[in-house]
Amino acid sequence: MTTLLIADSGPLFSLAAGDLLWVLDRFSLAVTDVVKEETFDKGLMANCSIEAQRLIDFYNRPNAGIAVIQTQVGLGLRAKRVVDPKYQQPRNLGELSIQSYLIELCVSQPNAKPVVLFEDGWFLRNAAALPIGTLISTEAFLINLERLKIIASATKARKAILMGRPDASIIMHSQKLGRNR
Amino acid sequence: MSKAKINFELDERVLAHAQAYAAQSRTSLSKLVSAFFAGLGKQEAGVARSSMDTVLTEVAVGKLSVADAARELGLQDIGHLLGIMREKGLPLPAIDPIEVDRQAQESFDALKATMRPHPDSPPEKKVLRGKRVAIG
Repeated sequence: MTTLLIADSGPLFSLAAGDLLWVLDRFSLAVTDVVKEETFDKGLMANCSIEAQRLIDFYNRPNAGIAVIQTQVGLGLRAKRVVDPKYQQPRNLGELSIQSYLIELCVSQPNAKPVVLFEDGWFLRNAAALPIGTLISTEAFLINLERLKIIASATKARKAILMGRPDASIIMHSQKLGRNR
Repeated sequence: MSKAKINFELDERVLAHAQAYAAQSRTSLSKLVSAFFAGLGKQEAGVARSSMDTVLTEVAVGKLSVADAARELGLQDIGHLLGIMREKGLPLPAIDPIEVDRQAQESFDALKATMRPHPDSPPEKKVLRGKRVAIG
């Protein structure tokens, strides 16, 4: 079975905002150590947001079965923090952790075609350099959830998310993938 | 300053991309890698400089991820960032609907392949084949 790799925090916080995390139960999921830290682990902290609370509840359910992938980027980050607890994390580290994993995968399993769920525009801007099988945004994911009859309506799901998030429909960026798949 | 040689593995496509970029920029791969290593940890060290509005605007135009923005503003998690953006009436960037439709079409089969068996679905029926027994 192929794994649905959640590439950045955006999809998880979106689904949490719309109280839609349950849809992920239908998929074989994986996140990198860096993305886990930015999402599920935040729910362990006092005064966390409602989204972070939902995320940790989702993660801790019996049989949740979310694979966490240790990456070189994550290892490096933790090592840095041991030396300097106030270490200022560079931008895009979560995305770079996925990139590092995808490159490793490309070497260890050349035929693997990972399916990557993303929200951050970084993935579209860097798609040409990423050895990704399939790239799918949260919005496209919702459309396919409707087609798979996992949710009744992608439009309603999107509205539920927007009620908990700023209006994503006001600004539209025409970002095209860098290569054909 | 003395120099050292290092070896590392790289995907061929990534290497080709880097070589093309180096050629276009009229520099060498060594210089590119050296500049990248030299900048590690420094590039964003002074991020506290950014005002909240600048950071939020960068998120709204898709230049900065929500995770990085929350960290740069010292917020505990992304949920708090989303709350502030909502209060300020700032949107999150969205992908072109045509691109979304294209992704949905192209990813459908691949997404199906990542599905787990539904816990409520009945177990697969086993077809039992009996041995033929000669009668008489």
